[in-house]
Amino acid sequence: MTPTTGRDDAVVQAVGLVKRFGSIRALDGLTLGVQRGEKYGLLGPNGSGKTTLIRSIVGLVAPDEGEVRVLGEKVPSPLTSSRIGYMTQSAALYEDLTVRENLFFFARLFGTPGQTADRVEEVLRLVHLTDRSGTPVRALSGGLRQRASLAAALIHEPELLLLDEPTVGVDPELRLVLWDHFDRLNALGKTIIVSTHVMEEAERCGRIALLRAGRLLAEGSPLELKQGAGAASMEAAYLHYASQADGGDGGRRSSMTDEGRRSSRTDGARRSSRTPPKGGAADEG
Amino acid sequence: MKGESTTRSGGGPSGHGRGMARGRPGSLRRTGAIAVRIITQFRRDPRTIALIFVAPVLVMSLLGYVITEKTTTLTVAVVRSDQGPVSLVPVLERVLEGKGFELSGVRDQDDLVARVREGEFRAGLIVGPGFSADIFSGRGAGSLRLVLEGSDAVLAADISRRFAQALQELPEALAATFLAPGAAPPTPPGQPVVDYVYGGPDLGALSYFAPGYVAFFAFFFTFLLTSVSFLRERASGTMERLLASPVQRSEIVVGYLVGFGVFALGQSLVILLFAVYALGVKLAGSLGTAFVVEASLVAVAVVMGIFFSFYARNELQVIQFIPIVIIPQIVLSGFITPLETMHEPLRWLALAMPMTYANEALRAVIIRGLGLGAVLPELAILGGFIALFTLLAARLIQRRIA
Repeated sequence: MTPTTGRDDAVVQAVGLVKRFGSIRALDGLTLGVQRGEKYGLLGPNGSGKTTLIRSIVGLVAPDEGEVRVLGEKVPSPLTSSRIGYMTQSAALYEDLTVRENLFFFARLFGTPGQTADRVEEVLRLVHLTDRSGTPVRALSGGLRQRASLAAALIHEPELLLLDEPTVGVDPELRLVLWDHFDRLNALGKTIIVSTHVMEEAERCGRIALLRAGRLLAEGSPLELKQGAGAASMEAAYLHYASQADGGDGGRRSSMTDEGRRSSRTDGARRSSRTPPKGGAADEG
Repeated sequence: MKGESTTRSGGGPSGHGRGMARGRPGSLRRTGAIAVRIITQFRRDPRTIALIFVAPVLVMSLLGYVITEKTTTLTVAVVRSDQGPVSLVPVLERVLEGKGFELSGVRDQDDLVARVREGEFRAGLIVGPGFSADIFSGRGAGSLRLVLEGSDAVLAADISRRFAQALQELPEALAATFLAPGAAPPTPPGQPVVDYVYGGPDLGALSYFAPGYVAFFAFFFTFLLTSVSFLRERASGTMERLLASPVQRSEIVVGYLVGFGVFALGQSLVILLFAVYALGVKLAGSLGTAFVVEASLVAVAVVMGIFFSFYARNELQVIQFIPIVIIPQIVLSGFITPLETMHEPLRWLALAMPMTYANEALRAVIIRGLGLGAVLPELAILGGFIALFTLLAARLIQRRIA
């Protein structure tokens, strides 16, 4: 094992995660690390393991192998759950309650810093929902719903935000609004892990993990990934790494994935996002 | 063409298969496609198939088994004060034993009534001093007094019926014992005097069944409501959010218990008040005690509702619990058939069901007029059910979602 350095800066450390659902391996030896203040994207198609990875970071999935540490604590831990804000794939709010009532409910569950009422208003302002706060959730459009959901994830001022496909089903304009919110939260110092299957969206992240079939294809900044693949678009880059992984099919598990796993861990720990993308580099080298 | 004018629905009076096919080209094919699709969907849903075919058979056999089962032995207290000249009591007892009664002698009339009142015996028989003399002289069965506990109308009626049959057979038994073969048996002695410790024939059927109704409605609605709500919590993803928070699994279940409990208690109160003041059910005991019993039962319904909701994926599957969870409780709780006359395995099953205890306790309060102290054992058992299902449900939250 390579010793990890700069542990205090690692917000999430996932090591060798394997999760099986029946005969399907939702996570297949996944290792990655996310540093404090990062905006980290999980990019991959449906079934690539994004949701399972996020749920295992939250502590809702117990991996069959490997472990997850959040802020140095092994998951699941009551300490970590109050420091994570989790925005589920669907809005997951109580439809009959108003936005404000939903926020009050989650505020009481988590406990808020300072006065609950103040915090609720603060979060409503943060996602620009103050004027709709008295509306029942069932009457909100998809985009507003997602903002309300984001507000609920923010209510307890978590250090780490986990956003599971937050823009699914949201029209393009509101999508941009949501991403502006994410950028702002990131600028406020929150570490954000966001999953998506939209390639352009992923490019708004500082670093991206390309996932497929529960494995890490490659990891790096959008520019690095594209350069490493010699591709003009993120989509082309993804396909490049995917076919590269398929190309060395026999040795794929032993060489490429393991290489990717090891380098991503050490690299993640050193927080050097300037090195070339791991997956590609490993195979090209 | 006649069929040409038939509307698309094919549901018109003339629109059966052939007409439809002729009337609109492809109509039969499309109708068939829908039918085949529905059948295929059913085949993918074994639970619904089981519900359709197995549940009725299960429920009917349970009901049939419970209702026809009448031959179990019932112990009846007896006071033997017959003064002869030749005692016919042994013959009477033999006939009664043939009808499934086991006789247990007690000291005197007061002792007998007291022990029936306390629930030790469901019935008692007082054989008066003049019994044998009356039979010999053809004066009838007036010196026999049957004391029925009476809080269970079905059981009381069953005992009366079996007793009347025994008296019908008495002359033949007497003839076989005392008379020469071929001699004509004496005429049947008629009916005994029947006394009720609780209730009685003047207490309407509604009042007799009120404890069962009251228990059933409270349980039924609360169970379904909680199941569906909890199911929605899982389906909408809010459960996922709850579990990502620091909330404990047991806190979720108890929170539900309190939240739903408020409404379930209100409902219980409405049911009880309506039964007593609108339907005229005779309430021998206190409303407060009946309410405490009812409240305990709806609390069981809430936690059972949560527990069973984990085995449903949608609202339809919650409805499937009715024949599995609700109906057996109605059939076996003593609501329809007394526990005393049930077959042993069914009785054990009945004793595993919360409604049995609620029914018993409510009967004690509503018909027998007993106080809180008398129903404490039943309340304790209902409390045990609440604790058990709270634990089970909390465990399932962990297992099913995490």
